[in-house]
Amino acid sequence: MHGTPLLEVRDLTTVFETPKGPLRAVDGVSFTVDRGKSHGIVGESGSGKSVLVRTIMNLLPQNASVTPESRVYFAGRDIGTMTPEEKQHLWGPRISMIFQDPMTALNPVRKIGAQIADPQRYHLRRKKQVAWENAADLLAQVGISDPRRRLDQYPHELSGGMRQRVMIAIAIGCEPDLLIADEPTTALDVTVQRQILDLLSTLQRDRDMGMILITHDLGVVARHTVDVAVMYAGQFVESAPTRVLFRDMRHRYTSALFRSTPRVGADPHSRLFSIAGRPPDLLSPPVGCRFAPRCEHALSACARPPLYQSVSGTHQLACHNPHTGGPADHERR
Amino acid sequence: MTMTATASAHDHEYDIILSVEELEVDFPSGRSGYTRAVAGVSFDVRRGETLGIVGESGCGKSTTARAVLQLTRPSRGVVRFEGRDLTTVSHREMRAVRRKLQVVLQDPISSLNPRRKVRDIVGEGLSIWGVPDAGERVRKAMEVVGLDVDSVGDRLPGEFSGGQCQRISIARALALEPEMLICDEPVSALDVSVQAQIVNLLEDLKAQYGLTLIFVSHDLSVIRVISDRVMVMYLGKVCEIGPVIELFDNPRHPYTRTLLDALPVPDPDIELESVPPTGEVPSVIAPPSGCRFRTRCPRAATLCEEEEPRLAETSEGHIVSCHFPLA
Repeated sequence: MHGTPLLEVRDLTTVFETPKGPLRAVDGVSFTVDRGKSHGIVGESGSGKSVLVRTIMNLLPQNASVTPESRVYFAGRDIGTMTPEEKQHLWGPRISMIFQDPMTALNPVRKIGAQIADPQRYHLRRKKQVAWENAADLLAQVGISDPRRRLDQYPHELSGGMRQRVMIAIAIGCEPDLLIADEPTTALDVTVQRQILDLLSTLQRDRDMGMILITHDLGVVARHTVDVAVMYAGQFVESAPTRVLFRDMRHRYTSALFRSTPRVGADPHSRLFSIAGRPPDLLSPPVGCRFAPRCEHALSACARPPLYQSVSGTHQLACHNPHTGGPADHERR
Repeated sequence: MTMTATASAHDHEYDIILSVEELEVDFPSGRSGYTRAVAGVSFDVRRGETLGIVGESGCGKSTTARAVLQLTRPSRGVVRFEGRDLTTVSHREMRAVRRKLQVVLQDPISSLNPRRKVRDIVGEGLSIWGVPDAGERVRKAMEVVGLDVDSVGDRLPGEFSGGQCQRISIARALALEPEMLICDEPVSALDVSVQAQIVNLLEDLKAQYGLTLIFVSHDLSVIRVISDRVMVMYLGKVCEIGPVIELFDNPRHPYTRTLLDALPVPDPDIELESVPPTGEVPSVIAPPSGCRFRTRCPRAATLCEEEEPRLAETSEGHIVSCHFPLA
């Protein structure tokens, strides 16, 4: 590790005011993303992974706010201390985002070309013609054939996979330093998913961008990220370089999630591992470890909150009774 | 007619509960035209087995399931359930058949009436048929899916999680003690940990009640663990049918291979096939001539453009529709 990380998130807590009281959707999350690295965040629905990146992108609804101790640093600068002018040219051109559903994220009544060119004209003050020229180049880069003709088309004229490619072209148009992809392929078919993820990985490497990839799929994490964090009930429970995590899953939730994922190599009718119960209600989460009520290995100590700490180098976890390490091969098959 | 999925030489060894022949389903589209969502699909389901149907969006897997149930009327073809062609039976008779042929749908929340109590939802089929001791059967159906009628019977669906709603849907289907259960993407809306619970539950129920299952899914890994035999569909046609292990370990249709290669594997040390699948599924409104997969197929030749491949048996029970099947 050297130099300033591209993004540093420290003690981030996002609170939603609900009719039933405050709900901490993200609760004390800290992590960093380095330039040129792809960072995965994996978790099930309601784990807070989308709220986390929406907080970073300043896309929270009115009833949500961050606590005073929450900090987000971009290239070493605290976003909270930036002027409105600086922030305006931060979200979009320097940190950009790709959403799950390309149909609702694109404007249905504007031409593809305009939607790609607009951010460049606004943020980079490019002339219209220059921006449209660049839009055609971008479409070619994201693998869309006949890009000049596409510029004049509308989103409904494109397939789901093509629309997601257009979203990517918009997101990289101002050459961002950090790209956030929130479940970018969940709405797509499996063969198209593979193409889009490979495209994202290639662009990320070629342009030396930092990337945060949000997914519920451990398979996506395995292939497309360098570092990964596992999120449960608003908190990070384990994080490590991706290869380390898959070799040495320590947290009981991580391995439970892994074991409940069905596998093509499995024997037909083999019993799937399942996690009993369901995630806690975040209006009144357990005082101790949030996974303890569902954990097969819970101890009396788990009634106290576990510390999120380093077990070895870059491997961190929050568990009172983790796997002791060593090859976990018997659980991987 | 040449070899079809139903004309296997080994059929007499099995008790066929459902036999679908040359099924076609058309939907009106455009001014005076139609779109053929299912274009001549034939398959059998043996009593007590699970047939998995897999494919990408627009392949006709859900439409096939709905056409079997007569929820969408087939335009042509035969759907023979326990010897009776459901496409020709009267509305009244069809209702009677539905006692034996139940369905579980994808979205567990929207498929339950939000304003009815859970015990009434599960018991609705029983009350329609005036089944005696319905209360007891509701209790039992809910018990087998892991719900206690005394504590949750009077609640509304909105008070339950997605996984629990899917349990309620399954209880509703089971209350009538059907012979066959058609599950249309029943776990696709659920998180993996909950998905595992529901898959295990279906496996238990199948064993306990001797149920026959059709399990429709886009997810090959779920199909792998739950199915005895698998049918792969593409743009309204059958690509390949075979026993589950045979089909996964030795796929003969290039499309099956493509699907398998595209699956994300949760192991960073495994190097995937470096050539990703190309293109996207063409529109079913204007499918390609000849073999429908040819526009994306690495093995496509002129023959594939000119002539539609027919289903042919390559080994016992393994049927493929391809001019140039994989070795």
